[in-house]
Amino acid sequence: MIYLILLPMLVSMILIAFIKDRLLKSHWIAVSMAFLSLVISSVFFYLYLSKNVVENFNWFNIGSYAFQISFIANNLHLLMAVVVSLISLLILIFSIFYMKKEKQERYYFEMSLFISAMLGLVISNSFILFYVFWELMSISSYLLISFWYERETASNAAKKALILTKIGDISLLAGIIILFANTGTLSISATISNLSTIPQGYLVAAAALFIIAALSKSAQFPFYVWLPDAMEAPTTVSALLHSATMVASGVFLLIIISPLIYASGTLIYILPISLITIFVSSFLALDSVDTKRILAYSTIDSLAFMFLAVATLNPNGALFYLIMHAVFKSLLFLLAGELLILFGTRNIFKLRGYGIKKPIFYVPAFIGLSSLAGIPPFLGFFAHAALSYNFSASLEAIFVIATFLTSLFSFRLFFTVYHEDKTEKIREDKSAIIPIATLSMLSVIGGFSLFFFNSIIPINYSFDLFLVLDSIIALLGLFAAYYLYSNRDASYAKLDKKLKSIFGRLTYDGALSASGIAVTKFGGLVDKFEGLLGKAFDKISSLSFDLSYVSRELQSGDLSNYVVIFIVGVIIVMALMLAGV
Amino acid sequence: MIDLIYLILPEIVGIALLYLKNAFHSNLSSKTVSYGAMAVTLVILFLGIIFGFDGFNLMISKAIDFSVSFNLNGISLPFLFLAVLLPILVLPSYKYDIADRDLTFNALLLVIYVSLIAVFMSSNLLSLFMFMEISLLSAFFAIFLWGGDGSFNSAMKFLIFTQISSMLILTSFLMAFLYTGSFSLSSIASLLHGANSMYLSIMLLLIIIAAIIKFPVFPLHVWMPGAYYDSATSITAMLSGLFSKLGGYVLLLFIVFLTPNAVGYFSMPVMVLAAISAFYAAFVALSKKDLKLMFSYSSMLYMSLALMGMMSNNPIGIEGSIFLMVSYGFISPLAFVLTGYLKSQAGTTDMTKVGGLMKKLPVFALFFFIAIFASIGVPGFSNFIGEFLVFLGAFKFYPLLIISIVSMLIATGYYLSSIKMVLFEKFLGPVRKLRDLNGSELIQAGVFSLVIIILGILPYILLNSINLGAV
Amino acid sequence: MIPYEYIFYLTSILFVIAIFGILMRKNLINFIISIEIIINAALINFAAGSYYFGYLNGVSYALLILVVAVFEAAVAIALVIFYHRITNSLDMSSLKEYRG
Repeated sequence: MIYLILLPMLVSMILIAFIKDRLLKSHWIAVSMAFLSLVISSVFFYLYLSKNVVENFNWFNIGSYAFQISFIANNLHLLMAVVVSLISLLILIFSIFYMKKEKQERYYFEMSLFISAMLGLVISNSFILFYVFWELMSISSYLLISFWYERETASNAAKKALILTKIGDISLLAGIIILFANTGTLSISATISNLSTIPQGYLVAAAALFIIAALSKSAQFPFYVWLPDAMEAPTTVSALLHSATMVASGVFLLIIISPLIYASGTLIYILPISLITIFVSSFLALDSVDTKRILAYSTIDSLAFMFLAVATLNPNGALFYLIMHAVFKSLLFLLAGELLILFGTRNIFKLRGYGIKKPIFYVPAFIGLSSLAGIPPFLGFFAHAALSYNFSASLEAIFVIATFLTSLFSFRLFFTVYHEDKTEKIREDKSAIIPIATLSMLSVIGGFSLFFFNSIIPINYSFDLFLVLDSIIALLGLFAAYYLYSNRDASYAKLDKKLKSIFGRLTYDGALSASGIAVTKFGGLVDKFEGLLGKAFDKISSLSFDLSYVSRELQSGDLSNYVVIFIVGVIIVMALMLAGV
Repeated sequence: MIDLIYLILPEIVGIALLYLKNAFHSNLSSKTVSYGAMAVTLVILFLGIIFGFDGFNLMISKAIDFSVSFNLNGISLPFLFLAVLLPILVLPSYKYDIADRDLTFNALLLVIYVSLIAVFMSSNLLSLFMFMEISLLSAFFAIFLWGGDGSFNSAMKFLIFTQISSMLILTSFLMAFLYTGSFSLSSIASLLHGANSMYLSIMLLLIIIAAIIKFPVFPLHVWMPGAYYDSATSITAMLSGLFSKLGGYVLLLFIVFLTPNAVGYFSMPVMVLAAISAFYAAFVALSKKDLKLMFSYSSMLYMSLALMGMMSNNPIGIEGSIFLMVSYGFISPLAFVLTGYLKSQAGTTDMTKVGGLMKKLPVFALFFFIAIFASIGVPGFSNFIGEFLVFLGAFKFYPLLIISIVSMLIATGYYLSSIKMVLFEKFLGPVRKLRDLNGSELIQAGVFSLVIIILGILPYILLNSINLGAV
Repeated sequence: MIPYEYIFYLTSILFVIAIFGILMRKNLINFIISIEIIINAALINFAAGSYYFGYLNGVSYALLILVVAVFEAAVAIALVIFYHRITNSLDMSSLKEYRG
C-alpha cells in the first residue's frame, strides 16, 4: 500500500498526457495531484510513526533468483516523502505564476514525472527500484533543462548534465550489481543487515561506486560543472530539482546505505573532496553575476556540508540539514524566479539598477540568505548545529572559514540587488506570494523543530562555543558584504574583476569540452580503422574475382585450344595409369 | 491444440494469392494480402499461446533424417513472438522507398516471414538450416532490388559472409548427425552428452564463429554498414530486428541444449571479444554523422552485449541476453522506421543537415525520444531489464567484465548528440512543408512504443516463457 | 616375319605425325584428315597385334573401328561442308562462339 504515495503524480502524468489542455488545465491537475500526494504522505507518516514496514512485490524470476520490488515505510523515508510533497506542491503553485506564458503541458508532464520519481525514490527499499527512479530523475532533469530547446545553451547544458549524471548512474548500477551478486537479494534493508557476508574487496568497490554516484548526482567535485549550466532550465525547475530534491538524492543515497559506507572504510575519501568542493564553489559564487548561478554554487556548497556530516559519521545530522536546506533554498530560487519574471534579468548589477529595495522582496530574501549563512534564529543556525555535531577541532576551524565565505557571497547577492528603492508599487500575483510566504515562515520557525526532532529521528546537537563562534563569523560576513558591496562607487566592480581573474579558471569547462572532443576524435580513429577493415575484406573478395578472371580463360571457345587441353589431359592420364596409380 | 503448421499456412496462401490475383484480374492490392496473411498469423499465434501448441512432423527422407518438424523448445517462444509481430509493424514503411515491383516485394517479404517463423519453430536441424538459407537468400534479393547505390556490392558482401556462416553451421550440424545419427533436436540433446569433449568444443566453436559473423560482432562485422545503409527502410528494420537474431538463436540452442558443457572453455575469450566489440561499435557510432549508420552501429553494440550475456554460463546472463535481443528487436526497427520517415520528409539522413525538428514535428520528436531513451536503457522501457541482466550475468562470471558498462556512457553520448542535432536548436530543414507522423505511421510507431513499454514494465511476460530445461 | 616392334614404331610415328597435325594445322579439312590418320594408326596396331599374338580379337576390333571411322568421317565432312556454307571459311580459329 505504500506505493500509494507516488500514485497521484503518476495519475497526473497520464491525465496531462491524454487530456487536452482546453478541457482541463494541466496546472490544476498537477497541483491537485501534488496536494493529494502530500495528504497521503502525511497520513502514512502519522500511521507508521515509529514503525518499520516493508512491502515486497515479485517483479520477475529467473531460475532461483527473485527480482523483487520493495517499499519501505519508516520515519526517515516517510519524513522525506512529506517534505518532498510539500515543497513540490509549493513550487507547482508558484509555477502557475511563473509559467503563465509558456506552453504548459510538457512542463507539467515532465514535472509530474520528476515528482513521482523522487517520491518513489524515497520510499523504495529495493536497489533496482531505487535505480529505476534515480535514472528517471536524470531523464526528467534532462527534459526539463532542455525545456527551451531552441536555445543552444540550453541543449548543451542538458547534454552535459545528463552525461555527467550518467557517469553516476553507471556507477550506481555497477555497485548494485556487485551487491546483488554477493548477497542474492535486492532489498536494501536485507543487504544492510547482511553486510558481514560480503567480502571486503567487493564491499569497498560497491561503497566507492555508490560514493561516485552520489558525488555525480549531487554535483560535487569533480562533477560539479553541470549544475551551474543547468540553470538554463526554468527557475521553478531549478528550485525543485537542482536545489531541494534531485541533487539531494545523492546525499539521501549515502544516508540510507551509511552502514555500508562505514563498514567499508572508504569514508576518509569523502572529506577532502567535500572540502575542495566547498572552497571552489564559494569562490565561484563570489565570482558570478547571475542570481541563479550564485544560488547554484551555494547549493553545491550546502551539499558539501551534508557530505561532511556523512563523513563524520553523522548521517542524521545530514538529513536534518537536507530537509532544512530544501526549505530555504527553494525559497531563494523562487525569489530569483520572481525577479526574473518581473524585471526580465538575472544579472545582479542590472537588478541593482532597477532599485527594488521593497520589503516584499527583501524580507524573504533576508530570511532565506540568513538561513543559508547560518545566522540565528533562522533555519540555518539550527541546521549547522545538527550538522557539526561530530566535527573535529580542525574541521570546525575549516568550517568556520567556510561559513564566512558562504555568508560573504550570500550577502553580496543581497546587498548588490537590494540597494535602493526606485520603483512604484508592484502588484503581486497570489500564486507567487503563497509559496514564498509559506517558505519564509517555515524558515523562521522551522529551526526550532530541532528540539522536537528527536522523537522522529535521533539527532544529536550541542550548542557549544563553536556554534556561537560560527554565528558570529556569519554575522561578520554579513557586515563585510555590506561594507564591500553596498557602496555606490565602483569599489565592488574592482573587487569583482580581481576575483574573476583569479577564479575564472576554476570552472573547468574548457577541460570538459576538450575531453569530450578527445573522445569524439578517438571515435573518429576507430572509424578510420573500421574503414580500413572494410577495405581489407573488399580486397580479399576482389581476389576471388581476379581468380575467376584467370580461370575464365580456359573457356576460350577456341577449338584448337580445347584439343590441346584434351590431348594433354589424355597423355597425363595415360602416364598416371602406366605408373600404376 | 493448435498445430504449429497453421502459423505458416496463412503466408503460403498469401503468396499464392499474390500470384493468382493477376490471373483472376482482381483489384486486391499486394499490400492488403500481406497485411492479411500477417494479421491472421498473429491471431493464430495468440490463440496458440492461450490454448497451447501441437507439434508438426512431415518426414521427407528417412535415410538422412530430414523431416520438416515444428515443435516449440524452451527458448523459441520469445523469438517466435518477435518474428510474428515485427514484420507487420514494419510493413507500413515500405512506401518510403519501394517505388515499384509491389508484388515482388510483398511476395519476398512473405517468403522471409515464413522462413523466419519456421526457423524458430523447427525441431529438426536440417529443416532449420533449410529455412534459414531460404530467408538469407530472400534477404539478398530484398537488399539488392530496392537498395540505393552500391546496393549490389553490399548485398553481395552480405550474401558471402552469411553463406560462410551458414557453411559453418551446416558443418556443425553434420558433426552432430555423424555422432548421433539423427537431426532431431531432442534426440541430439540427449545423445550428445557422451561425446568426446574436444568434439563438442569444435562444434561449439564453429557455431560461435558463425554467430560472430551473423550478429555481427567485431571483427567479422564488415558487411553490416553497407547492408544496413544501402537497403530500404523496412528491409533494414527486418535485418536488424530479426536476421541478426538468427545467429544468436542457433548459438543459444547449442549453449542451452546441445553442448552446455563445452561453453565453459569459450566463455572468457568470447566475452572479452564481445566487450571489445561493444566498445568498438560505440566509438564508431560516436563518429558517425548519418542517422542510419549511427543506429546500425548501435545495433551492433547491443548484439555484442547480448553475445556477452549468452556466454556467461549462468541463467541470468542467458535469459538476459534473450530479453535484450527481443527488446532491441523492437527498438531498433522503431529507430530505422523513424529514420526512413525523416528521409522521406527531409530528403536526407545526415544529422548535420537537419535541426530544430522538435518544433515542426512534435509527434516525430516524441517517438524519437522514446526510441533513444529506450535504447539508452532508461527504466520503464524494455532495454533496461535486458542490459541489467546481461551485466549481472557477466559480473557473476568474471567481475572485471563490469567495465563493459562504460559502453552505455558512450552510447548516451552519441544518442544525446543525435537528439541535439536533429531535434533541438535551429531549424535547418528543407523549405517545403513538412508532414508530421500520421495515419499508419502513427499506429506503427505507437504499437512499437507500446510493446517496448509493456515489456519494460512487465518483463515476466517474456521471461516466464523461457524454460532453459525443456527441449 | 617382321618383328612386331617395327609395326609398333610405324604406328607410333603415324600417331605422332597425326597429333602434330591436329595441334598445328589451321585448316579444318587437315584436322579431319589427321583424325583419320590417328584412327588408322590405331587400327593397324590392332590388326598387327592380332596377327602376332594369335588372337582374332584384334581383327574384329579393327573391322569395328574401320566402320565407325567411316561413319565418323562422313559426319565430320558433312559438318564442315555446312560450316563452310555458312561462314565461307575453313579456319579453325573462327570457331569461337562458345567463348566464355
